[in-house]
Amino acid sequence: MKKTIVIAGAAGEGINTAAQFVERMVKEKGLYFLSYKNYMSRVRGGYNFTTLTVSDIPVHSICEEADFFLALNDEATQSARAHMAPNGMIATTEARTGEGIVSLKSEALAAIKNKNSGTMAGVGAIAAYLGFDKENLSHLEQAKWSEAINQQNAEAAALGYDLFKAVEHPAWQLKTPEKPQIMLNGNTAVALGAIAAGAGFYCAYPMAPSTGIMAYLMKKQKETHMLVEQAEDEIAAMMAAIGAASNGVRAMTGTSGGGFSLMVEALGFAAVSEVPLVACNVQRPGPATGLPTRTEQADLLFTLFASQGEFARIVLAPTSVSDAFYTTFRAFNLAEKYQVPVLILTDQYLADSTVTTDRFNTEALKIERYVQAAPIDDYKRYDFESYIGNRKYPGIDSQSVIMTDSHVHDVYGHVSEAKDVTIALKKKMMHKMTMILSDLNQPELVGVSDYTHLLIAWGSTAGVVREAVQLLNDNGQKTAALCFSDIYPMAENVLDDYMKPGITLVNVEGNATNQFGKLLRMETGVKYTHSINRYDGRPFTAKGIMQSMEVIINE
Amino acid sequence: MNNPFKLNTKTTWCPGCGNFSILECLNQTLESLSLTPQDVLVVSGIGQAAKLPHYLHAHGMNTLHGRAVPAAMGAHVANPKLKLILTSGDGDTYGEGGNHLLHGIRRNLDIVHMVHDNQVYGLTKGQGSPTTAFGQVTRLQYDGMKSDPLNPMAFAISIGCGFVARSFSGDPEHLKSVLKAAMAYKGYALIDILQPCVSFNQVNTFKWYKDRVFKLPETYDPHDKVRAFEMAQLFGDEGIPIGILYEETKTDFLGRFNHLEKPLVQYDRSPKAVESLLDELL
Repeated sequence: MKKTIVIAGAAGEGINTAAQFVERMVKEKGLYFLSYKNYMSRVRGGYNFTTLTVSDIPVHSICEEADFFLALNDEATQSARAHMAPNGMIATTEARTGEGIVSLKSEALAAIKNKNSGTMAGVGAIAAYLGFDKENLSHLEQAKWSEAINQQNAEAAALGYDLFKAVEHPAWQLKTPEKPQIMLNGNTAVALGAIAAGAGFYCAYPMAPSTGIMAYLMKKQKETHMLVEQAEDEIAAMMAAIGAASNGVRAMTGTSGGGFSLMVEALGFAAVSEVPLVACNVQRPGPATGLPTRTEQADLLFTLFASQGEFARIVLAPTSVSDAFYTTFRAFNLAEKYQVPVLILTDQYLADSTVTTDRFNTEALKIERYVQAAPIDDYKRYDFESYIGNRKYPGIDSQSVIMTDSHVHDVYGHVSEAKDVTIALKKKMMHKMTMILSDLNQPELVGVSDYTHLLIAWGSTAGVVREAVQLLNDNGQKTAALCFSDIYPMAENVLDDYMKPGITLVNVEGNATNQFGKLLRMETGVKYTHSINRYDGRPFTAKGIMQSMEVIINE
Repeated sequence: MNNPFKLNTKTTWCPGCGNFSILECLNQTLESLSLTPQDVLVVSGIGQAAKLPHYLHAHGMNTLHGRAVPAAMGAHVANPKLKLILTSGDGDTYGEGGNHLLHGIRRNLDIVHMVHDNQVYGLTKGQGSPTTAFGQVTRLQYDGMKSDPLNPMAFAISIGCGFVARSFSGDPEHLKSVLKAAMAYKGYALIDILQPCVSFNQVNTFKWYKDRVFKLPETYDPHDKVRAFEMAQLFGDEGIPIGILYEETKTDFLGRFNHLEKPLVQYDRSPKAVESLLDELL
């Protein structure tokens, strides 16, 4: 069972506030949800909406058709019709009536002299629609507001609740999940992964949609004993992270595509100087400024090939909020094990989606530093034969002197132009790529085992595809999806276990050029025959993918 | 006893280059402060001057062109116990790295930043630098420089740098005394070190500098910002003052983060750190 609530209006009309209250109520009921902000790159005005899909099973995909639409102004009320599910209800703060439209206006509501009263009445109506008790509204206060305002808000919500309760609407029951759920978005999950991994330093330049990572870490820096610094630009951010990482502190930076373009310069430095660096690129549509607050998966090949020269790197693309936590944690261990940059690719959809999910389990997590603390005579920081565990940094012992260098360098880190040194360094960097493969996770196969159609997806799209496969198979289709979270390096035989005679391979990506499909073909020689792409700045939906698949299946 | 910082490495500097004197002065100053190579981290960007970390025995980071300051920031926050020295040229510091210099000073990193200022690009062979005089002919700018030169001292004073000094590679005793004062200073110490480029700058030669530099008188008060700004305007035929132009006590970068009790690198960390944060999300 799944219900989708849409809250729409202009920036500044309280969409976020209303959404947060609804999220809180849903969480307190112990239900799963995924809430996604669809907002324009502006502070006031425009047309924004938040979509909240509530369910008794984990949610990976939003639904574009609203079962309940809360319209906070006239424009939203007018556009609501186009976004409704069958039998969907519209509640509006405007004085409008019609079939399926409920106006929240009343004399009692007008008597509450508070600009948010309409929005709060909408929150009350949503509670009534979801079948919650009026009691659930009692927690709707915010510490930052005065008691008077909180009181007015509670009254407005109660009015909305009573008003909607009296309106005929479908009743539905959701099963309550067994475990208590945590509520967070993808950016916070990445930040928590970094904290769990023992990151001491985070340095970034503000850029939507990545800023949430820095904001969370900054807010928590005292209790986590971290230092979080806003850099003057993204080159500085990554250089500072490298500076800290090369001095023994786990360090990270994060940005979006435009900022990553600047970081590219520093990326190669981390690689050649074998500094363990973790960076997150929260993708948004490009090129250039693109669509700052929207989503796309078009930086994959850029992230894979960014920088001059050839070197080893790891690219990971979490498929869900929960995966974002565990993957970020792993990124730090991998970075220090292989002394390479590890790049985490998320996107605005994952970053800004708030979900309830099972509490993260730290029992099995172990921080592994791969350093050499004992003094060594004639220590060679860049020993060409030694790959794992030979790392020292300044101050780790009382005798070593460590050189970190951006040139082709000898085993001590000093500049060299010798042929044999050049070759040895190159071979070391290339051999790391092979070694890393043993530590990367295989893609996850979901769906039926006797599939006729195999969908390929990576990153946040893989979460959505998972639900699409379920919908398709519920309708009698035989489909499966191969979900990639660990992207690169990629094994030549990665598809061997999944390619069967007669199956149709469908590549699903949030870009126009099938970048992952190209990567698969480049590394494995296997080419997809069909593709489903979305590049309008909006996330895929399970239903949308299902519909595209039905066309492909019926060809 | 031999100076522990000295390395008998071949350099790629031209004979007669001011860098030799700067390196020697740095080695001697570090030794005079009873530091060991394990106590010191020398960070640089790219360029002839920036090769210096390879030529002494201490921890080193030879980073990217213009990017030494942010790399030094990261190193410093990780382990502030290391005495941090940044050594790079005028193109690296004032050109490619200008933005980082500005913000490094704003942060007041505890660092000694030595700028080897020869008013020309060396490693790329003779193009104009941010400090090359207006109209000066270079190997590239055959018709003369079309931009006004940057005044690094006035720039540093105006944006709040707490230690602004100038010295000359041709006066080692002076350079060492300024270096020593910079090392004792807690905060961003910028030293613009005038040096000849024997290969690519035929205007600002050893003699050119020698004839123009003069030591600030003992009566000079480096705490007078307006006076310092005035002195910073002097350059060229009217004479070039060397010494500490401006000094001011202010809280350094890490002093502004009072939640840290010890260097970041010394914290033991555990995945359990997220448990209380996860509780907040319940």
